[in-house]
Amino acid sequence: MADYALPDFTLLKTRAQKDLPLAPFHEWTFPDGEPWTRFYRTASGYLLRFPKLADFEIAGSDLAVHCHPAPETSADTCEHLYLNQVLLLVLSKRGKLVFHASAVEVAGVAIAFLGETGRGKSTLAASFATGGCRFLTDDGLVVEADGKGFAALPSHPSIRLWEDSQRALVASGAANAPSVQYTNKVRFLAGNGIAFCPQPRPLQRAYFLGEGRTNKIGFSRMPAAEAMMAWVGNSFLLDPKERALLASHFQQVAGLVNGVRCYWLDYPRRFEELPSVRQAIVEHLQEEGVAA
Amino acid sequence: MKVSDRVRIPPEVLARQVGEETVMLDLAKGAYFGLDSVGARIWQLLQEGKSLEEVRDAMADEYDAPPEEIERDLLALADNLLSDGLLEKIGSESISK
Repeated sequence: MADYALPDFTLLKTRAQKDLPLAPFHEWTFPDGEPWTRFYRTASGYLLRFPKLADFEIAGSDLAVHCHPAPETSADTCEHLYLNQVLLLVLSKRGKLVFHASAVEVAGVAIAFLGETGRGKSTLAASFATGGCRFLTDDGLVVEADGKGFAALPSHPSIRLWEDSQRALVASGAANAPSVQYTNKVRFLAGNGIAFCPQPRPLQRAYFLGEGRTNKIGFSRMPAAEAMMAWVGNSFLLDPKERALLASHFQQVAGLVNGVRCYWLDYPRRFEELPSVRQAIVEHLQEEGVAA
Repeated sequence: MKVSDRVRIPPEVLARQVGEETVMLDLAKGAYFGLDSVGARIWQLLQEGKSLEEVRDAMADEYDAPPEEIERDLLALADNLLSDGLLEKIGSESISK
């Protein structure tokens, strides 16, 4: 796991999700409008509600996390929600830069892939991780300034894939992590042909993935302001209403945009194209002197 | 908006140069805005506390365009900034010349 102190996490007994007296101050929804996460303020901190799955209380100066599973929610599901959502939000509250992004290591440097849900971030990372490179994260990228630039930190050594990506990319015999109740994605643990990079790597490039309505692989440089908006739009932020946190995040992301070159990347979404996409990315890095 | 209007950047608006552009964050609304390189230069001059007239004159020195065109573009941008809450008039009255 990454080189930062994790908040205390305690799994409590199940409890029914009663209506809360306050309105949420923020909400994440699925593309169909269904709520995914509701953010509430409490006397001691925050409560994150994943409807019908679990409530997570975040409290105290150390932002300790207590999870109340809803009835019939498994411990594995709670742990997964913690690692993939709650932990990342808590880290954002601590001032870390955290993004919805996958990242892989190419020739000793990190490159990140960002984009809306379904654009193929995890699939592309898995393609690299099963094609001779190592992955740092399949989602939930933590980035830190390290004095020389920015480092991409490794996260949980697993990749979540839809069944079609799994069939195309993952050899039989790869180790599955326990399934979780809110997604049909299968989570594969690193090892058995899926290579993981457990050390931070200097982040050199970010590729924002297009819609895939194209017949060829194409790169185009993002204007800096557009890149800034895109990074912001892909950020984890526990409390986007907290001005001090928002101001700090703004300054950090601006520094990131000035230090890490960003491109739009689009390519046909066909699994047989993935080796060519990997090759094109490596050549793109080589042309710019990033990877030898 | 007139070039004689006195304006300032509200304290809750943050701005950073990224590349040759500028991105602003209105902390009150949590809203982000971007300016191209010419807009970024105008913003920089406003950040230095220059009046719209001083900004117009500085831009006329720096850019090869007719002064009236520069003033028109400057006022159009200032109107947009004003409506987005990124700029505010100082006092309710403007100074006429």
